[in-house]
Amino acid sequence: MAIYSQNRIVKAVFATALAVGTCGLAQAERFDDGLYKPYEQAVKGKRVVFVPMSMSIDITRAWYEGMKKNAAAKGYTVDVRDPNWRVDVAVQAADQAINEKPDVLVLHADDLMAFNRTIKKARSQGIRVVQLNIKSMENGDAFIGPDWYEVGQRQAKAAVEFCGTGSGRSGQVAIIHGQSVSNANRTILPGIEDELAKHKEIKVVARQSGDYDSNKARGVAATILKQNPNICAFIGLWESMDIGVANAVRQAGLTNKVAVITEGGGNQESGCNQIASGNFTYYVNWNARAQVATLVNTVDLMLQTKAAPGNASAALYSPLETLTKKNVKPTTCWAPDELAKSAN
Amino acid sequence: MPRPGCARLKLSNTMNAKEALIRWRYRLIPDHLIGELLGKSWMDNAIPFLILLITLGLLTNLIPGFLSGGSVATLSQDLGEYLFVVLGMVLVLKAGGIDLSVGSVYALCNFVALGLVNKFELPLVVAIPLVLATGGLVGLVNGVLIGYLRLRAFLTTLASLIIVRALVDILSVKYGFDVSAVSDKPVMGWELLGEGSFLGLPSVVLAAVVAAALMHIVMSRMRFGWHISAVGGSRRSAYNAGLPVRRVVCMTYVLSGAFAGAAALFHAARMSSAGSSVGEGLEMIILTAAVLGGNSLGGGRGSAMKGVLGAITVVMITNGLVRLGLGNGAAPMVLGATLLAAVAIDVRWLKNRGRVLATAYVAPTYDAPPVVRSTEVGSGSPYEKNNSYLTGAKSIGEGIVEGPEDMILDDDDNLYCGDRRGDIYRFFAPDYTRWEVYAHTGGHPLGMAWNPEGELVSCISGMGLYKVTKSREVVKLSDQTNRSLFSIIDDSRIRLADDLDIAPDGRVFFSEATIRYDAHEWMFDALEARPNGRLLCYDPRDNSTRTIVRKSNFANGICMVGDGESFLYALTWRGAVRRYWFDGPNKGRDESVIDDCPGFTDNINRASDGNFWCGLVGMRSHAFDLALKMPKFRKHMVHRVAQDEWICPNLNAGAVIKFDLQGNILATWWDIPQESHPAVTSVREHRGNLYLGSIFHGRVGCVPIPGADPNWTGMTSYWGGRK
Repeated sequence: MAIYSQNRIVKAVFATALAVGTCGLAQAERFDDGLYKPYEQAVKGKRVVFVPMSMSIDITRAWYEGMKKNAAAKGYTVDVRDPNWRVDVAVQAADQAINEKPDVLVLHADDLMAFNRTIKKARSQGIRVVQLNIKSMENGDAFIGPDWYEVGQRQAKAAVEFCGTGSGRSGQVAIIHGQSVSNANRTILPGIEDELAKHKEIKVVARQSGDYDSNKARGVAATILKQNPNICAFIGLWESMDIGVANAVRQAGLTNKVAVITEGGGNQESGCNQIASGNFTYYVNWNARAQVATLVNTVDLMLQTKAAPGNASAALYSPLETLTKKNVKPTTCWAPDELAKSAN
Repeated sequence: MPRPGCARLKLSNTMNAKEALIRWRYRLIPDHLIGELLGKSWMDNAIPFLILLITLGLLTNLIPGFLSGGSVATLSQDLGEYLFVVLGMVLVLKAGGIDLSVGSVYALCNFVALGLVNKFELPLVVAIPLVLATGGLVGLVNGVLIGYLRLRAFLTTLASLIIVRALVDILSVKYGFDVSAVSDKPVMGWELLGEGSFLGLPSVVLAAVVAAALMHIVMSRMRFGWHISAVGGSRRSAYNAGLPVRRVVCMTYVLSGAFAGAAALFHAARMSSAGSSVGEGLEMIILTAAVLGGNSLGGGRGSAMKGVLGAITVVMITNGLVRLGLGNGAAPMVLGATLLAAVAIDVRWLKNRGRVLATAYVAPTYDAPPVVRSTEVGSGSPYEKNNSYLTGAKSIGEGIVEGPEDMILDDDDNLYCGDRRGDIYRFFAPDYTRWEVYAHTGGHPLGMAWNPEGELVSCISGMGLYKVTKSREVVKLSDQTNRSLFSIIDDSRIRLADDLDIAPDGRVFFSEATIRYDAHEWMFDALEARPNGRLLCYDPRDNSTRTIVRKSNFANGICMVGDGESFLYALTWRGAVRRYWFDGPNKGRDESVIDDCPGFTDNINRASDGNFWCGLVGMRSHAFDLALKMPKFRKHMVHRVAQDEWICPNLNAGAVIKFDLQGNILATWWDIPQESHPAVTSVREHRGNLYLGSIFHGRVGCVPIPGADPNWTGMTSYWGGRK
């Protein structure tokens, strides 16, 4: 009995000493460079909610992985709400997220109107809103994505280069666009049309919707090819859709004779590899790799700042580059896994 | 060494303890309620409600703040829109169809609403009807093809799904941007549709709840709802019954389209989105909601409430899965699995419900009837089988009448009796060979009595209390009583009115044998040994019916004592006769007159010497009395043994007894060879003769009563000179 209680006392003393020691260690002040403390307070334990169009796209995965990795390093969290392509579900998910009062709401919303109220509501409650790649009518705190008008201009310039005066080609161009309610679509088209209008030798022979669907685009392109045997170039509005256009061109045996001019985020598989194989003749790259870096920095910034008075909105346009077989380097494109790993 | 007597005592003590335990177990646990609950039509909603609760429990556990105020408001936004579409789907399903086009119609109406309001800036009083009409128009096309041209619903609506979707795609590409651009000054009321809320609930959900309530009334209380039910239950029968089957079917599709239009209207106001993903895959969500709520895919079964339950569950599931942040495709997969499970439950439940109900409904309880008095010759019992007085009784109406449970004679000695085919026959005095159908009642007439006006009042099985006027008109007196507060089955309906008698003031006291079974199911009631019967009083002065005595074990014969304030009544399965005071100083008193009769007491009537006659429809047996103490045994027997092998009341050897008010048995008349009148359900004395009725026989018997007053009739005994 006596031995037993003695043992207990020894143990208790030892444990107490250990606890005090650890506390002492924990209490030691971290060196503050004059910015760290407010930074830590602003960032630690905060919450970011990401509502993509769908998590089945390579760029949404890259964005999410990038944000998650950065958040883990800095002590906040990122939740994803996957609406799986359904706009109404996405709006509901964003509205639901607002109820939970996150600090930053990252929206990847492909609908001009549907998210307007949600964005207003979030901002009125002090939730910072970052819009990715495609903007709603209503502006958020920041927009990260290409200047779609310039993307259109670049595509048109490529068409002029391929089909214009001195090329010896017909100058007939077809435009395969996406859904009309997408802001990207709405902005990119004037870019193309305005640029083409400067060049009288270029004639637009068809303007049809591929609905962002590669199967549909292939059918549309095949028909256009039949109707316009002299066609010189297709301008498409998204690499994933335009791969269908490229297939139609290939089936007609016209690869490299008829240009396929597309745009995308610079994925190795769907971008550079297709350029190498000749499927895409021109490719306007809006560089999703750079977007990931911009995104994580913007989120960090949003967490540490208050909204500017008057709800100002920042445009963080992505750097653009027109790719052809000639200027593609092994490091130009990225793979989703590598992008996620390298994020920050 | 214990003495043998001691051991026997111990044994009987443990037996008693065991029996007491069984008695208390059956007294405390109301087994019969399970069957009654399962029999309720709203029981169909119990499973969907349970699924809803389970879903809610799971999601609140998994997602913090799932039920916070803001979260519920966001959820109900979607719920409201879905609910409208589900209501339409419920109508179509109930009429036996299916509408796969709702998603496309929803998208089309969304587009039309945006165009009318944003582009053309029409006021809502014009825009709303136009949008609903657009939905209704697509529905009309479906309805005409399916209802009138008899195309298959599945393929027809699948085709309209594709065609309408293509139309939406074309419109969206061409005008998508134009219609979704919100003008600076939106049309009055438009924002209220999309954003308005009341008590924290969005306007759409309030509108949907009102729509659901209206639809509930239409479906459960109005002609159109009943027609839908009939058409979905059995199209052929509905057609044969003269219902406009084609029009009803067509209308369900029109309404479904209009409901989808209503939902789209709110969606358009909220989202202003004319994207092509609007309403994509909606039909699967709506179908899942409808079926999960318990609306049958086979038609005939469905309600607004079921739609509401299913919609709530599905909205919670879809919303919860997104919020859980599960991987791509998880939500549709779970929804698909849910639909599969719902269909499986639907099919299994429909298939087995009847069997489950039949098994659970019969709920035997413990009963210990008093020890049977002997009928052996030489036993000294008043029930000795020492005569065969009824053998050779004169037969009336043999081969003409079937199942004359009771009979009665008028002043001119004509005899009236009931027939199982729904008639009252009249046999003319003096030889009772001439006859006619006196009145057609439509149900099997049981007990009979004359009222002071000389009209024939009768209890009609399955119908209630009726009278036949002197001009032979059949008039309903009562078919329902007051509903008791805590009964699960609706006991206001009179199921098995059995016998009656009339007090001097004209009030009719009548018995209902059982409230749990119909007449042909009497054997189940006997096996249950549960006091399911009751006594009722119909007061012609204010045309009201009240229940006066409950829990009577197969209440049967009723006979006024003649003091103007009490009557005798028989409890068949107990072999008992009791006396009840309905008026005077002893009002409400209820005491035993006979409690140990070896036979099953049936109708009671007056004798000319101031005593009473009672028919015994069968004899109790030791085996059955023992079985009454073993409720479990009887339940197993009902479930596992074919009906003709059951131990049940022996109804082929009866007798007639005469007794006085003190319960002394004055005479017992037998038909020992069981040739003429073995089972006697009624006895009536008239001018020195005793008439015998039996529900199992094809004739009325008659035997002379030695020493009886040859002028005595029931009519004069009751109403004296009055007529």
